[in-house]
Amino acid sequence: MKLMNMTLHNFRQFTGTQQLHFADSDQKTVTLLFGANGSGKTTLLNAFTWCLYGSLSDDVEGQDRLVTDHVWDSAPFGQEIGAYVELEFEHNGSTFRAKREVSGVKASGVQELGAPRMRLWETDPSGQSKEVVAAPQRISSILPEPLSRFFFFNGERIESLVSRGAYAEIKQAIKSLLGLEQVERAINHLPRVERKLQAELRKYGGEKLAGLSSRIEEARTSVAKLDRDIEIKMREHASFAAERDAVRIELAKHRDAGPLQLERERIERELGARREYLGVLKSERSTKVAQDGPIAFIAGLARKTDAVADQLSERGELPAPIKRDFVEALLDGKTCLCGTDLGPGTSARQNVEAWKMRAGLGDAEAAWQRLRGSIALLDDSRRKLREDLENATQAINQTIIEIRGLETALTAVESELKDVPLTDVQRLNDKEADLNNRIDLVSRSVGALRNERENQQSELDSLTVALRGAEVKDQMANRVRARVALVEEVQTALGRILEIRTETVRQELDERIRTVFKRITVKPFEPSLSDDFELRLVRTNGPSDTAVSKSTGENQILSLSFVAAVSELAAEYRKRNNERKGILDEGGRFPIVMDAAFGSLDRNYQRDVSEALSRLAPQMIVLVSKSQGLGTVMEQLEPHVGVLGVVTAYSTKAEAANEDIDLRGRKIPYIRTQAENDFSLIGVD
Amino acid sequence: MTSDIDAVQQVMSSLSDEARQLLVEILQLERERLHETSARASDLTEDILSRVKGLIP
Repeated sequence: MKLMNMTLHNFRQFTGTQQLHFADSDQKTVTLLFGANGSGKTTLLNAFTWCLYGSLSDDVEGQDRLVTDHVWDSAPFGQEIGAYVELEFEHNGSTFRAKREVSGVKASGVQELGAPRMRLWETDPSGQSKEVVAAPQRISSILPEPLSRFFFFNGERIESLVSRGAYAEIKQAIKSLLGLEQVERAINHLPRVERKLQAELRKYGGEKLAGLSSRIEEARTSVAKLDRDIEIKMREHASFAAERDAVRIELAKHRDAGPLQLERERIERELGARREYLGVLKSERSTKVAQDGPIAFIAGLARKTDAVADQLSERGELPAPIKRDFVEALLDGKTCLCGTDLGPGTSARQNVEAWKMRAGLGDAEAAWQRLRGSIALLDDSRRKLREDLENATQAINQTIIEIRGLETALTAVESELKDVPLTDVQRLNDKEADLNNRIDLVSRSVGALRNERENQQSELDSLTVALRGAEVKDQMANRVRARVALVEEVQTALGRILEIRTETVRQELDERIRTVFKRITVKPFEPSLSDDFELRLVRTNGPSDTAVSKSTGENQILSLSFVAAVSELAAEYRKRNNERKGILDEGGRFPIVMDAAFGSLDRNYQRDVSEALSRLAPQMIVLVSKSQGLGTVMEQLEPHVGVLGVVTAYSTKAEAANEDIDLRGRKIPYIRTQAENDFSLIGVD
Repeated sequence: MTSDIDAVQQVMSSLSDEARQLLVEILQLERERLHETSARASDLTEDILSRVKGLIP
């Protein structure tokens, strides 16, 4: 199935007639549509399933309002108003146009619509066109509705594919897609044929054959009942196991919470110590500033002191040529060193007294010398103060960085702890034990039923042999017996073919899921598809075969891998079937239509998934919001995008603001507010 | 896949001519039923029975 065009007419918020062409070249396989929340991305996804099957997903609100609200509201009473979705696609060489429409005559504000009608036109490879009489059956032969959920889906809900209860559905869907359904149907039809033949045998075969035939009938009924009982018990087993898985995940969360709580305590302790240390550092720096801070401001003073001392020295005043104490001693003794009389009134005394004025004080000189020495030391202290303050600031900054790191770590741990429900662990343990008991009981019942079935089957085989070997004279009875044997032979062969093909399909799918999963992510997990078609994720870097409790991201990638693997395998089976003209009608090529493909994925997974998306299926239609799709997703997908579009939401809301989206260097309306009506328009690049 | 084809082939060749023919016819009927382009949705039991009777008259 290759999607070509979709036309929407007054369908939900898509007012008027709007057409969308899908990327369909081999190189550019992706149609990427952006739309704000509420713009109609989910409606577009549902337009596919509504057109093909008449169904809408549960998350579509107001399912009875299929016609655009404002179109219905503004129409005059008594007028017929309708909506339709038309889809053009190719499948195995033919071109199809499917149209589903609905209408109603307006009698009130409530949309009272008639039953939707579907029409389908097929143009075969020779160019012959005709309307298909039984459209739903033809659509079902192309892509049965149960299978469509693997190809048209909401990315945020896709993980339900990997839930335990889904395996039976997966198994059936795969059988249907890969051509095994017809074998299974044949196997189911043949016992009815045989029952009719056995009735004829009882009629024509005489007492002995009639007896054997009755016993065969009883044994066969018994085997069929046992098969049904086993199936019911297996479902019970799967349901209990799913419940136990959920309990184990809860318990694991509590186990995970233990180390998290210890980690939180450690971080809190470390944070306290670091904060205290920061206080000490700041206090030390303050003390240093208070004590030695003034030193920082004496650089000018030291220079001035030096300059004054230098000037004194230049003038010969420092050091003084003669000391005042010496001059005063000469004057007191009234005699000079040379013996000259220095008595009062002598000219010699007047000369010496003049010297007294020029003489320096010894104390002052000593003080000057000390001051100059101290100034040299103060310079060293200034340098040291600067270094000390720089070191203290560096230590403070480093400690602040450490504190911030610890605060971030604490927030992360607290956020993880917030997700842990405070359920009673003892209650969970009791529940797990109870479920283990139930599973054990069911397993034993299944074992007993299988034994019983084996016995009944042996009985049936013996009776069949006896019937074949019984002597029969009646010609008619002989013919009927031969017919019974023929039916049984075919039935056994079909059973064997189904067994071989199912196992081959499972193995091929298992291998392909692994390949796709590895293409998407490098996480140390490996998916596996069990004998019962149950999808599991196994750790590859731990003890072998350890099932991993899957996070939302891993679930989504596992589911995507599964969908992609089914899609690839279906395409390959179709190719093989065309080449060898096999007895089974197998496979086909199918597009994948994804809404909210990246909604619940973290950034790393978004990159991985978007990088892998273009290779997941021969055609991809991806519906995303601006926040989900711009950036990494757009960068990865861009080379594969054949059609890029925006679903612009027009809203009557006055309080919201208009918004644009930048695509390929152009600003395109994303949200338009204060519109006359609420509606959406599809625009493509 | 080759071993799978071989295995199916082996099953087919172990059948009697009538059984092989009936098997192919039944699968054809089932395929037509799956792809039914008419609104007919009859039970295949009678169709299969008449084919069985045709093979062993």
